[in-house]
Amino acid sequence: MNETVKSSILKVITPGDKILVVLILALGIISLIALNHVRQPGESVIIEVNGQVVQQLDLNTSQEVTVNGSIGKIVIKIDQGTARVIHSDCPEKICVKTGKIHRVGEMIVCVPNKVVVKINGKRNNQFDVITQ
Amino acid sequence: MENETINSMSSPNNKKYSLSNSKLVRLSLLIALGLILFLFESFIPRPLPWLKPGLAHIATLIAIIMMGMREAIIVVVIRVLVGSLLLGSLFNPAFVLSFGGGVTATLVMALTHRYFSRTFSIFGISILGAVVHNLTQLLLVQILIVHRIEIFYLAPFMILSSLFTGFIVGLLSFLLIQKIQLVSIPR
Repeated sequence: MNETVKSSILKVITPGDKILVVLILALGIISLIALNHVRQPGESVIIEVNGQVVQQLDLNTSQEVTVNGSIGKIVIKIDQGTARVIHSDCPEKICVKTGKIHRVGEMIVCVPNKVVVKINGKRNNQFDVITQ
Repeated sequence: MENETINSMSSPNNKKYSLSNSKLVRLSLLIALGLILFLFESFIPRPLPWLKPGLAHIATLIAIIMMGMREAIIVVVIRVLVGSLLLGSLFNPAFVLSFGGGVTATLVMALTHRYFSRTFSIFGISILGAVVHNLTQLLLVQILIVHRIEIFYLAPFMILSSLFTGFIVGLLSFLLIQKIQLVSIPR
């Protein structure tokens, strides 16, 4: 983008635009924080390997589960309404670093192992349409 | 010929809607532009199903700024109708979402341009349109399809992504209008 175009854009942008951007940014961040607070804690944990559900566990029962992923074992610990991956045979351990999850819709993904751990509510809320 | 065009543009409150040849051609070009962008957009892969730049609104914005509110509504309605027909989604939920979001966003953008064009430039109008488009769609999804309040957890992400996509659409429209230069851009 050359200089004249840049300066003409800067000339067009009004103070009102800037205020609008700040307001919308604030609205987005505030609603993000507010919704995170009201978001329900989950009821169950679903463990998927390669897109197939292999286990569905109660989030309120403390236990450790070992699942065979694509390249090795992955250990999931459920404790006091939260779930986390405590060990995985994958190289980068991103799943372990993700930490604890407990709200509906949150998930831990281990890409090399093709394992997805996600929190579900009382009912499935899978979307059934894609917007065009 | 030129006088006729200027007259028909400067008096949008005429009871009788006059469609001059030049207006018809410009409307058709804008509809075609919107359609191409609409179809192009539906073929590019998206990381998330709802994350879409809304490039088709470039045509709407140009219509609002260079022609008027009525023309913009015509452009968006025909674009959605023909676009959905071509994609095979006519009258299904996705069509209702495109239609509802598109028309509401166009109305808000056109009214903002009409009454607050001193306060907001094309960038502000575009961002406002993107936010309205996304939130309307979210509301429609909740009412028509999902019936679950949890869908609004997406709202913050949509609002924040609208800022970005709205700016991109505003920028592209701005550059295009400068290139076309049929009418100078009002601030």
